[in-house]
Amino acid sequence: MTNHSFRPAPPAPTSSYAPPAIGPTRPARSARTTDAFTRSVVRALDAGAERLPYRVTHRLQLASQAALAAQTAVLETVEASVFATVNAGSGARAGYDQPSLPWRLLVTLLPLAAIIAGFVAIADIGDALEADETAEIDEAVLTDEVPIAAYADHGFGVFLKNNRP
Amino acid sequence: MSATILVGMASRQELSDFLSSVERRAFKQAVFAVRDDDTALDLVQDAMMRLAERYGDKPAEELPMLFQRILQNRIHDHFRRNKVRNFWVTLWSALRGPPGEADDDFDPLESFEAEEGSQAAESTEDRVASEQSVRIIEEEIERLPTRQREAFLLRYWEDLDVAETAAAMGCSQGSVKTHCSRATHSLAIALRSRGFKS
Repeated sequence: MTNHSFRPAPPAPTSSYAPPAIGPTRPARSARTTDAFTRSVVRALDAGAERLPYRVTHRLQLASQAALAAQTAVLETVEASVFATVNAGSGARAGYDQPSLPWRLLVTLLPLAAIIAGFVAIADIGDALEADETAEIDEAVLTDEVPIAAYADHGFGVFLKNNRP
Repeated sequence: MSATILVGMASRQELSDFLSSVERRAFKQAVFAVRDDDTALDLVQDAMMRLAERYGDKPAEELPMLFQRILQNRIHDHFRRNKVRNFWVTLWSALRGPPGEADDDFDPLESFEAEEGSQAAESTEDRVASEQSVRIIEEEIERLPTRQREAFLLRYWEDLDVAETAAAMGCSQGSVKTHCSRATHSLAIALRSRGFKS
């Protein structure tokens, strides 16, 4: 079994672990990782990550480029929406690209007035039809030979009921 | 005007720097979990794309935690899909007969052998010893239980604090501390048994 060591000195007679320094892109590790054992393991992991084959690093590079392109698209979309909002606001203030107030009121109130007029017309027509029906009934009663008081008599009502064809 | 409106969002350069700094470790994390280079590359690429597409407008300081959370979710999704797929494969295999020998020959060190071969030209004694040490440590990291490995790598390798690690893992800060403690303890015992002096 090989004898490995995390301690940098003294050098062991057999192989000792001395991981290479971390690459320039790796920022200095914060002080919260203070345990010597953990730091040694982390250095070993860094060393392993630095020794990736070209096939892997190239693929990672391509993935990063694709992600950056995606982020550019997102930022452009956000920027465009922000500009659209800003332009819409300033346009309203300056009176550009927006219809004037009378026109907007007209466009809003016209359909409302049409709906109200429709309701009024329907109500009037309904009243007129009801008045016609009442007039027809009155006319029939007045032109009948039987006096109108007879219809209020209980016996006459029974007579009509019994002699109904 | 856009500079003032879009202030706070990670710039292209900041995202580029972040991805450059994290891509290798992310790949190794994924390899430790899935034990396959190509699958790990796919997972890292997915995580990068999702970070850029969904969180490309977030401040740069939020990127590490967001990326780690996405990556861990991607890894877990991979295992969930495999679990379903393996169920049907097992069912199919049971119907067809006993599995072949190749199915039982999984070697956890296999992914490191190719890496070792690519470095064969630099075969000084120290280099070999160093590589061997790295390989053993990576093997033991790989053998840790999943949650312990995640906590250890996020907390110590990615240098996230406890709260960030908990957010990335979707668990409590107490669980993170427990996982880290157990991982460190298990790792120390395992490495000592393989000839490392603590």
